[in-house]
Amino acid sequence: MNRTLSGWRAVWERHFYRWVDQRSPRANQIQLNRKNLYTFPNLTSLVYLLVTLVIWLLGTNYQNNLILGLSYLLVSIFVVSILHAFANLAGISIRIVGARPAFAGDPVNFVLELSCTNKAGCDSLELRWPGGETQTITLNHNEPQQVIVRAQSHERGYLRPGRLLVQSRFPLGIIRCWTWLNLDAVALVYPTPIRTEEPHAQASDGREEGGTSQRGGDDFSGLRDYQAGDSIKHIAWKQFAQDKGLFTKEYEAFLSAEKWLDWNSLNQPQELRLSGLCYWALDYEQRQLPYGLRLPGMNLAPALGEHHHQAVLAALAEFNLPRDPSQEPGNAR
Amino acid sequence: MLAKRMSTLLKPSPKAAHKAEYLARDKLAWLLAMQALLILPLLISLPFWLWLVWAITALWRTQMFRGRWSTPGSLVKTLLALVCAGGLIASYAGQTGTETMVGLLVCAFSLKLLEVNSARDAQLLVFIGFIITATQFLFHQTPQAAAYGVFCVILLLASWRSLYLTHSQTTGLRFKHGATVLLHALPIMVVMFVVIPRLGPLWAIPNQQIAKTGFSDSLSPGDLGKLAQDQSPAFRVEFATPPPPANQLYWRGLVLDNFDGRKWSMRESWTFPPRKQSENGSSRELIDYSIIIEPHGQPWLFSLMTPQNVTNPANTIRITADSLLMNRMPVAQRMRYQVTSALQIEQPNAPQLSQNQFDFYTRLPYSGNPQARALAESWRSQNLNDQQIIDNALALFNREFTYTLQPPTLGEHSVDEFLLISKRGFCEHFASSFSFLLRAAGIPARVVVGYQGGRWNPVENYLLVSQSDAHAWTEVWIAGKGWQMIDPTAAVAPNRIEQGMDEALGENDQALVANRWRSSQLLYNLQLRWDAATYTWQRWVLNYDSEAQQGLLTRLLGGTESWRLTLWLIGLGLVGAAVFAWMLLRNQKGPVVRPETQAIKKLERKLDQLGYQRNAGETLGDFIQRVLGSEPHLKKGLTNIAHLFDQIAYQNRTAQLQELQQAIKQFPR
Repeated sequence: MNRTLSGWRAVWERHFYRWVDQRSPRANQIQLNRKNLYTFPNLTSLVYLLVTLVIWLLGTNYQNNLILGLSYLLVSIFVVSILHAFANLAGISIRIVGARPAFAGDPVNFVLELSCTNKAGCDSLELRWPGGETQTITLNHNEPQQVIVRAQSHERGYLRPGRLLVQSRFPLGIIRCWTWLNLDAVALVYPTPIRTEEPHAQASDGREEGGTSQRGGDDFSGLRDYQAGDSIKHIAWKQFAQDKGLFTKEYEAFLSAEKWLDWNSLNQPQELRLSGLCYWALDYEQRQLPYGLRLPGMNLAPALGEHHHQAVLAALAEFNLPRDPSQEPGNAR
Repeated sequence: MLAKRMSTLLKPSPKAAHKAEYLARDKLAWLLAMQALLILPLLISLPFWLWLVWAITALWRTQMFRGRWSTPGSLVKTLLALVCAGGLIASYAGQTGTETMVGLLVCAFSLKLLEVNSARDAQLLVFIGFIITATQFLFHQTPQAAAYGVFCVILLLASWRSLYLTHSQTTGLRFKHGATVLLHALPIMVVMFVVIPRLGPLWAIPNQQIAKTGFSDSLSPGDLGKLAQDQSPAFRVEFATPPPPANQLYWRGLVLDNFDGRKWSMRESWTFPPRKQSENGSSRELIDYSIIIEPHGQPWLFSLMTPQNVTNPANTIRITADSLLMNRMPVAQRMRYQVTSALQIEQPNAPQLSQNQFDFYTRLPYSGNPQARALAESWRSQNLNDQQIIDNALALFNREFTYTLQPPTLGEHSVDEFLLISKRGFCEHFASSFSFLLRAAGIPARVVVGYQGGRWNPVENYLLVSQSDAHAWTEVWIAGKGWQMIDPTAAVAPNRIEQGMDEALGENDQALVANRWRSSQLLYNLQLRWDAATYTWQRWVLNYDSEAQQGLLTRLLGGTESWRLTLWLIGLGLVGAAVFAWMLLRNQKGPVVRPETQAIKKLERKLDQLGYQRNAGETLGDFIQRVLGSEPHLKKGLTNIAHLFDQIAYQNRTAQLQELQQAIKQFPR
């Protein structure tokens, strides 16, 4: 029984979304207007109409025109609140600004910019991606505002959070005005970092730098400022005791020992392998060990730094994604 | 009960429960003030201790907000509810009427406050508030009461709307927004009020306790004298045909046909003749009029002699065998009815009084008032006929009697004392003793109480009949003619009938009934206008019934056929939609274009001159790559522009905006 119902629901939703898509094609910036806004009374309005009915009965039974007038007033307030709820949202334009990459399983922050051409502004606007959390904001006339709306990511690759629900029950809470915006939002999702065995460079690869890094590692090379996360073993206690500050001793081995995130050095299933590589990329970046990436058909030379780090993680995220035309990044950032 | 059910309906879904929005300080303060103002007018009509209930719950809720007192458990709440219900039952001595119902509602409204935690609860409180506002109108229906009701609705709308605000607003602004919603709703409401058909009561409702005003169902000497000082309105009459002259404006209310030596009262019940076919009225003068009667708590209504036909929307009025109008229940609400009366009635065949009826209408107590009886018998023994006896009695009043509001009190033989000793009296004295004399002489007679005359209001052309116009007169059975009206007061003080009581009384009495408005012409005119406004209010708002609806719609639209109404409604709907669309579009321009986008538009125009158009949906990066594919020499400038735009648009580094604008201005150099 339940299954049939949810089956019907799925069919209904598919049809509905197709219809919605025809009415509001995917775009970078969308203005809310009568073409994409929907209004419908919610459950509370049933209670409201019940109250109206009670007042009407009171007026009819007591033959009291003032009470009857009040019940008519409540009905027309109902009608007017439909218009007000609509007017509250009409004239808002929403633009997708971008999204910060995140690791699979974490929420992704999508940055939206909203502006409102209504003189009265827009109150109590709720924004939500499917399955995400609701963000409530208030907009003022001609004051663009940036909002972060979070969507939940599940797997690596490109996250398209789906349709953005924009809704408001303002002003009276008995009418819900809403729309699903098919914004061209896409975010890069890195694999979930999972600790696996450390990958090793394959000698057969013939890369000399990789081989030399295995040697030694105990030659003291100098001191640098202590940074959070540095191993306690390498703190220059002598200098610390002399009250010169906290330093970390650097050894030749740290600088020269380049790590390789080698796909072939691990033998887990694909996703777990990528997660492992991701973990070690984060680990090396934190420990400031230069690391390179070796994936089938791709090589990134060992390096350090934000740019390199992101390039490595992006490569892991994009590696061997299932072919699906709708998953292409398109024109989004 | 209702509240309970509604609250279960409104229970937040478990999903939303974890972040139930708790009421902020200003929202709670609003709710408290709203409640106080809403129940304020009700406390005039309800037991005053209900105010205490509200005060206690308000204090409790405030202390709960401040964290001093704890939330009452369900046991305490049930106990409170029971105490309130018990108090109401005690206050009304167990009677369940409208007041008890409203009292319970007020209690529930107050106690509900203890349960209000979230915006949803508060919304329910607002909904009950609308019902409370409606019940205000059960007790007061003056224009002032309606204005207060409008204020209450604005208050409710303002607090309702505030529940959904995510930022704070000033009180004035909240009121303004509440009033805006009301203002937008008014046109639709007016159309609904005018057009929607009125139904009769759907089921019997508990009677409202209403103070009985006017005269009662019996008449003792001095009763009407008290009423003569009461200036409050009894009813207002609008004539559809030319109004009859003042000396024929006898508004019959009640026939008193049973005399116990001092007091006239009416027989047990009224009889209603089968509704006779309306006779052809061509030979008679028919008067059409409609009356709006103030609630007086009695079932009888008033009409001119002889009512032929009476209608009211609820169809609850019948004509008795004595040609009186009786409503099915006591008049507790102001009500409007239409009457057709025939002033001169010509019976097609001479009416007959059966022997039983004859005995009944000549019956007197076995003893008492011997001298009056003797007088009547002396007339009879002189072989005078009925008409001569009547003339004798009237002549007696005319010769020796004085019309006054301050007659001496009468003892056991009230008729004797009045006729032979005091000789001073008000209309009930004359009607009573006149009827007594006739009965003693063997002529069927009865006393009629009602109103006589009224004050014409030229502002709205209607007749205002006040309590001070209360009057009593006599009806006498004339063989072959039927019941004929004779007013003995007219024999004593003809001015009373022609010009009203103020003119008929002596100077001493005038001080008693002095209309304080009469002293100045300006004040008098003001009073006329105020009463005219009251009448218009009653006519077009309070008693706008199906008949008035029919008339107004015919006048406005030219008919009441359903196609005509439908066309008009569609037309009005279109006009309304057009107005709304205009109001909406007036404020709407395209989206606000951000400055960096404007700058890029400028770049696009420059590239357009070079022969490159940006495709729809093409990102700036792709577009620039395409241009660079054939124009590699532009690389430096374009890459810089793309980089700057990227910085501004996506990383919010707005400080670089000027740099971007500069770069685009200098492009392609």
